[in-house]
Amino acid sequence: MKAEDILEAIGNADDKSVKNAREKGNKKLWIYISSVAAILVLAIIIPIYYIQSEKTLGEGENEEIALEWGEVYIYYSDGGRIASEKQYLPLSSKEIFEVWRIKNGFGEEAKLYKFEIDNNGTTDCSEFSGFYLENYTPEDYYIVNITVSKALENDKSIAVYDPTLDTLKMTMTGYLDFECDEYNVFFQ
Amino acid sequence: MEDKKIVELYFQRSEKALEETALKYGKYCFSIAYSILNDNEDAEESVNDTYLDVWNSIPPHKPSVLSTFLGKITRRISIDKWRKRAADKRGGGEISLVLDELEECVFKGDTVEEEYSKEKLSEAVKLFIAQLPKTEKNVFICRYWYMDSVESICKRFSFSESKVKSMLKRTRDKLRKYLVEEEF
Repeated sequence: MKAEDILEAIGNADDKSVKNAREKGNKKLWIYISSVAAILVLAIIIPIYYIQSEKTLGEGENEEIALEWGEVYIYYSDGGRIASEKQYLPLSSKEIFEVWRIKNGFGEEAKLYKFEIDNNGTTDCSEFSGFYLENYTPEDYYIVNITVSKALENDKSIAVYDPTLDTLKMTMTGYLDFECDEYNVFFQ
Repeated sequence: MEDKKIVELYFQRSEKALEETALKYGKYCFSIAYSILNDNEDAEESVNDTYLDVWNSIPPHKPSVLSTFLGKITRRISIDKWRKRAADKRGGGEISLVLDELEECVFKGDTVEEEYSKEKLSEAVKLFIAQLPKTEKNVFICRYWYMDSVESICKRFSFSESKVKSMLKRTRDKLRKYLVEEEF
């Protein structure tokens, strides 16, 4: 193996990581631009929102939001090692969790109860689709909190490293259109 | 213009697709090519070759992230061009430095060299990158994917030179260990 082979292999890093790597730059300028943009957006959005909400009051309240589809990496434990498989799926945490559950050999007792994205102390997304945040700001601190059933908790009596929860983390944060700063898993 | 619309133009075989691509991503592609080749003319040529390659691959291919799709093609073409140029005279660009650094990740034991496929290596490296913490991952990709200079990475992340260098060194060590474990 040569260094050139590694260089070539790095070239196949996943699209999101490549896209995000350079988006973190120019912090100060970005903070300034995003602050100004946020004020402008609020100034425009708030009046439009009120006008729209008055217009649509009582119409189509129960309409379902169409989910975007995309290529998602499902990580799974393959004999103690982490492996992945790319699948074309609806970008919803619930759907993705289901595929992950089956791929990792869990039965229906393994459930995803809650999927939340916390942005600087406020919950940005409490629904099961968290792929795209409309008010995403790269410099903000995002925490992904998921609550799953106890069936997924690692068996602490086994001394060998079990990568299952790592594959859950990689799958559930990997499909999001942004990089989260912190990830927590809770068992219920 | 939105990426989706640009991709639609490719599907319609409209030459406007190329214009819009150049307008939106010309500088991005050029910066990747220039980092590798360190030559304006060669970098321009790589970017033009990228447009041709994209024109020929969409359709049937439908990229999910157009920017990285273009970036990957530019990177591949530029590395190929660098290889051809290196046959005459090596040097120039960040790629020489990057390759010297990545040499550390190559296992040089006495064992018989294992057969490995490039596909397997590619998959293993992809997994390695996916598992890195966010900041390490970004710095690693800037250096070894975009081949940004250490100086520009320092500016981008507001880090000192020693911090960037030590972070890269630690990640290379991790990669080396990981590749040995994965039997490459």
